[in-house]
Amino acid sequence: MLVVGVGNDLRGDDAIGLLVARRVKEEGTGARVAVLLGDAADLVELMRGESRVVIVDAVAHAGCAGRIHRVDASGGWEGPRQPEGSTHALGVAEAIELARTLGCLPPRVTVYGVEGARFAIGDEMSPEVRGAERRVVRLVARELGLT
Amino acid sequence: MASKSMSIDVETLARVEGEGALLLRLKGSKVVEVKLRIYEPPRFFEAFLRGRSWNEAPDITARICGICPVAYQMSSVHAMEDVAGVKVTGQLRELRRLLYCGEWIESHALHIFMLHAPDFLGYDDVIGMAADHPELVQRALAVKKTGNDIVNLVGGREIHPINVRIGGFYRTPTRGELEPLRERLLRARDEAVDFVKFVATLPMQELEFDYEFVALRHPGEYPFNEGNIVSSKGIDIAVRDFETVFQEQHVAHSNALHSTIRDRGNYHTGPLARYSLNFDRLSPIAQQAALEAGLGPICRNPFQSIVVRAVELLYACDEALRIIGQYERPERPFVEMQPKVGIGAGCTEAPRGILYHRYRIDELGKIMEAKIVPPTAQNLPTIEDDVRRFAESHLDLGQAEMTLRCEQTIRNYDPCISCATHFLKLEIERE
Repeated sequence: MLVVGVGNDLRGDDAIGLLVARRVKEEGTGARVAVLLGDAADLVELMRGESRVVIVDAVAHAGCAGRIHRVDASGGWEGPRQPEGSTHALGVAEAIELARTLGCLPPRVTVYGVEGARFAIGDEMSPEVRGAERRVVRLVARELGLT
Repeated sequence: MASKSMSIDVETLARVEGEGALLLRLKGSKVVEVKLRIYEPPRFFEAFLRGRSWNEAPDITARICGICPVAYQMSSVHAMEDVAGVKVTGQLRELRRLLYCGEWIESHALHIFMLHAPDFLGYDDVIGMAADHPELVQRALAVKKTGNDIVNLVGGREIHPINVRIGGFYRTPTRGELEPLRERLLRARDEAVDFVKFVATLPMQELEFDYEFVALRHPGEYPFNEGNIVSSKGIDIAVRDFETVFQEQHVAHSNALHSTIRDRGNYHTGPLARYSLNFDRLSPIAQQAALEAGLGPICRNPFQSIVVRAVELLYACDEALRIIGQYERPERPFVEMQPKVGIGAGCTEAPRGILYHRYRIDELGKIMEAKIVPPTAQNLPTIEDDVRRFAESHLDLGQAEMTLRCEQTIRNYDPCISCATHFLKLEIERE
């Protein structure tokens, strides 16, 4: 079992994935916990050989900060991906699709996306997103069969 | 007047960390406007650092970029050591080079195979390329992981290393801890030799520009941490004189500052510049691979940056092996030093070019002023020029092809657009 938090803790709501991952680790669930602060391409290697992976990340604002999206990516990523034109790194969706294409996507992969509202460098987290942290931690624990 | 435009939008459920955008406006057979707009975090960090302890600079600046945290740490520790008047030497210095090798391996493997090669082979992205070339992508990921493992072991934590401090490290690895890396690096070096051969076969645009290349140059090494700042048109200065020769300017269309050489103009930093100014400092295996790939000792074709990156990837594997081979654990993990009132500068070779830091600190080590000049900001005017020149000589291309080629032109620089931004919005208008 692997829990991966993705984000940047100096960019407001983008920290949510990291906060959840750290909380899961603190609670000693027994799951392997990793954080990704940079390039999501590393997800491919991180997930390799795992049977169950939960990824937590912030996602773009779509009207409701703090809203939690759950995506079952066990068969790959079917939602929207980054458009062509990424210059510098891969995103989570691309890393999942890359792992699927290479035949090394774990059998069960779930992505929790928390809608954020503030992503600028130096932003405080919005209260709605901070408020979602415990709910996501509970959802992740349930996902892993830990509660 | 007919006007066609195209834009690519970021969609919900994709990561959002900022945005870069390119606007290219064509009128008849002329390019009338090229604007690369980026949002750049170093300005925030310069303010964020004021009032902090000098000891915090490596950790704080490491967060500017998820891809090259080592570069930010290295430039900051060198700048602080410059203030203190202390030089870190011997095995501690070697370990810093080893850490930098790890970052170059990670960053170059990522860029060459996950981002740049798909452009050359006509794929939308690495996922499409992986479907047809799974073995190649797996091999690239394995090499990249070797880089991650070096950063993890020497830097203390993968991505944003926390083991680096002013004067050295909090803890140095034992010989036994480094030993398992040797086998993996030997394999990575063999792979890198093949990678150079592979990228040399990619269909290449034949374009050469008369850049002024700027890079570090050291008397005996291919540069990572030390050396003078030199250029292909005669600059040869100590790092602390950087701001007497180079200047940053605000431009209306971007909140990133654009760097130029005073009274002269644009310049080019990064792998192409490093290679062209330091070919003679590469190890024999890297030189040989470069020559066999058809590169001369100077390379002015920005599209061949993919080949140069592969040569540097090979060099980084080779250099890491050399360092591990001669490693003796230093008696102390760091050189003790005290802060003093003053100004210090550091410049190191991030994977995408020179990264300059300057700090002014007080007698207690409090940071009074910080200045950070990242490589992408230095390259921005040159990237715009390249896009302009490329578009002008390929006006017959259709919208889709022009978009792809402009993206590729920008990707030649592996630009760190807002250092954590994953998106480039491209807009082409024709009148």
